[in-house]
Amino acid sequence: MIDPFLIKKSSQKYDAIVVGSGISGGWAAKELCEKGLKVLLVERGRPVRHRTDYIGEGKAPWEMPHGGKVEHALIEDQYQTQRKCYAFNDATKHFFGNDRDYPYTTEPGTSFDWIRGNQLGGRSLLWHRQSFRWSPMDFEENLRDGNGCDWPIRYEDLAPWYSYVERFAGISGSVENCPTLPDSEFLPPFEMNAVEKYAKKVIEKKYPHLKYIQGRCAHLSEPTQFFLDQGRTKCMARDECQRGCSFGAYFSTQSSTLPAALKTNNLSIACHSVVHSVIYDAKTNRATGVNVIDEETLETREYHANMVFLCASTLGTTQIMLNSKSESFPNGIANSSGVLGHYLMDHIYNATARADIDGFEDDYYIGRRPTGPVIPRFKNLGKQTEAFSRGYFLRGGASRGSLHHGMGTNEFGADFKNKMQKPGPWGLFLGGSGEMVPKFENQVGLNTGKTDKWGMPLLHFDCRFTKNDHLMMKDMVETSAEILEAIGAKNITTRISDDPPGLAIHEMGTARMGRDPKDSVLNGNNQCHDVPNLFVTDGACMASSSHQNPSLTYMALTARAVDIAVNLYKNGEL
Amino acid sequence: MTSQHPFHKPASLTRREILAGLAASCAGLLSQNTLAGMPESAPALQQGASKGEMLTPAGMKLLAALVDVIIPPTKTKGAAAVNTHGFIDHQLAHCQSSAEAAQFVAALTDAGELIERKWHKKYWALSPAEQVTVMAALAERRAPFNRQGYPLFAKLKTMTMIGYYSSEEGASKELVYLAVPGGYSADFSLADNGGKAYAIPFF
Repeated sequence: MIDPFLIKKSSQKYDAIVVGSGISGGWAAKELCEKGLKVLLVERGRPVRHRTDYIGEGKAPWEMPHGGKVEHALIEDQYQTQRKCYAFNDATKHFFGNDRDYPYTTEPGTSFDWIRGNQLGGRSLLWHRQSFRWSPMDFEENLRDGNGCDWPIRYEDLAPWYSYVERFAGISGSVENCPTLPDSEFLPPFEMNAVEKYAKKVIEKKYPHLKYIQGRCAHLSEPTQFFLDQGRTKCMARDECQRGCSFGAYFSTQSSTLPAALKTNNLSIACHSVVHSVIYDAKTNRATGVNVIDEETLETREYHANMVFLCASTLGTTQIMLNSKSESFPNGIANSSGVLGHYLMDHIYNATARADIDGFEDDYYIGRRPTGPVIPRFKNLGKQTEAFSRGYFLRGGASRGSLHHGMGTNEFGADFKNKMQKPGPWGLFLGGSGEMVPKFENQVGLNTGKTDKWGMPLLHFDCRFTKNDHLMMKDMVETSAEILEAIGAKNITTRISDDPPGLAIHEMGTARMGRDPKDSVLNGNNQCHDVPNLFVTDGACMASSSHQNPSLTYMALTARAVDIAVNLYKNGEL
Repeated sequence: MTSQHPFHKPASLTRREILAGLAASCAGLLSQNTLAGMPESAPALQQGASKGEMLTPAGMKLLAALVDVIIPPTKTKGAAAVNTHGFIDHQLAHCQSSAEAAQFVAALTDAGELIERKWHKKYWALSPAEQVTVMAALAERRAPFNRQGYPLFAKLKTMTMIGYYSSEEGASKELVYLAVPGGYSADFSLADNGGKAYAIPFF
């Protein structure tokens, strides 16, 4: 289906170029095309065709050469960082970046795990699909506590766009009227299991200010005709999403935005096209296209357009912008403020708690649910009452273990085998998902001495968790343990890992939005203060990180920015 | 019982159509192929043993006997019959560092020699009761294994469990393996699942 639309060289001047084909790029392409613009989607990696290129899908462990494990030599050679992602295995590895070809450097004494997906669809194929709106509070906290710059938009600006993207993407969840987690336009929620239903009852009774609700995710729990008409069908609860889903049951570029964009006949796609830099015309103060290096042949070429949307991922976009140097912008395009690359944030996922719970021995479930419950944020509401600023929510549900109850013991033999045939006890998990406060010092820049095989200067990371982040981790485990104890769980264990930032895979903030061109890169329209026809709608635009999974917000911001951009374009203002 | 659950219902026309449409693109999802090199019905134990990728024929024979004591045949096949020893040998060759693999092979070889020295027979030639006695000593790190620094039983057992419960027999006959559950429902009891646990992905 995509093949007729793939191009290599083109002398055409497009209305718009979109760099990157992940969640943000897919949305930008769809919206621009549907508004009648001729669009070129530029992707550094190979084409991935819906269904046919999901080569790991549906493979049972005994159908895989190493039972699902990735060969040691291959990991050593190509996946030293990517292997740290929970979803990395033999059936998904081809959707992860290749660390050998995509190196980066870190400041001595710091570390950052950069998980990447360099192919058509980007990380929309790999994401965890949790989809939460931000709340009004999230857009106000920078102003309230003075960290970061004030967001130039508020919840009300984004609310209609959340609705717009939710109706198209398909978000399952329950209506809760929770002030810290506004409701989406929902498909039915996934069910809680017996232990979770019990936990909900106990938690909400003992802690009246807490809610225990099902996680909201971009899965078609009960698809309406609207989704079936797009060739997307009900989630089969395989929970093997990162292998690709031929049912189209979760939102990805391939299942959702790309077919919509192609339907308009306004889209062309340039794969294997590594964007080196944005072409800038100082006379008109406009971006006029992108310089590209062919991923396979290393040949260079240019694509031209009347506007450029950068959606190459937070760090990919930032790398391109920093590398787009001119007399007007010696430190990177649209970087007169000097904040490009600064205020890098991830989420704090380091604090977790686990426990067993007795009983419920006759209860079980069928299916591998692709989401789990959360406890929406309940601390530091309105004003700071804790030792740390900002907040977190807790995620985690219950499940019944298989085989774990026999691992690490001295048992063996027929009795052991028969015992393993039955499920083990129920386990409960709670883990924090916390906000990293934006700090100028947490940053990426270009490594002046090292380039990758395409000649791009490597990104150099200098990012670390702050004292506030560590105080939050401590509170996360203490609070999680207290809640687990209140539920009546036993064998509670807590852990604060020393993982560096990056592994939450929610990096954001390095080309932030703001009201003042002196301390921000983008205005409230995701439009560069300095270059009006250059837009950034991926995670780079974020002025703070909040604590929720950010992709739904990228979708809403992208759809909104396209609407604004096309209006400006049609009025001759770009 | 969750009689409403789609997995237990006859496939609707729509779903059949979907699956038929998918057949070409994700054949693995629908087929029952077994992995080449993991024979279903050829117990290496009885055949004699061939050379592994890492292990000698004698090493393979020892490993086959050990895994079959950890997970013996019951109503379903045991670990040796589904070539768990071949799985472990393959994992050692492909999925571990050479240092890790060498440590395991050295400890296994050493254990084989200790067994022969104390019980005067190869492990596979001992009576079933003796094999259990030896395995218990290995698990508890008692003599003659008390001087082995390497946690051989723990490693062996973990790899045996992974190999066995990743095999078609272990995952789908001993446990319950659902390639396409059809949706999620908590209105489903352990009895509805035949009292059995689900197979899990190890990697």
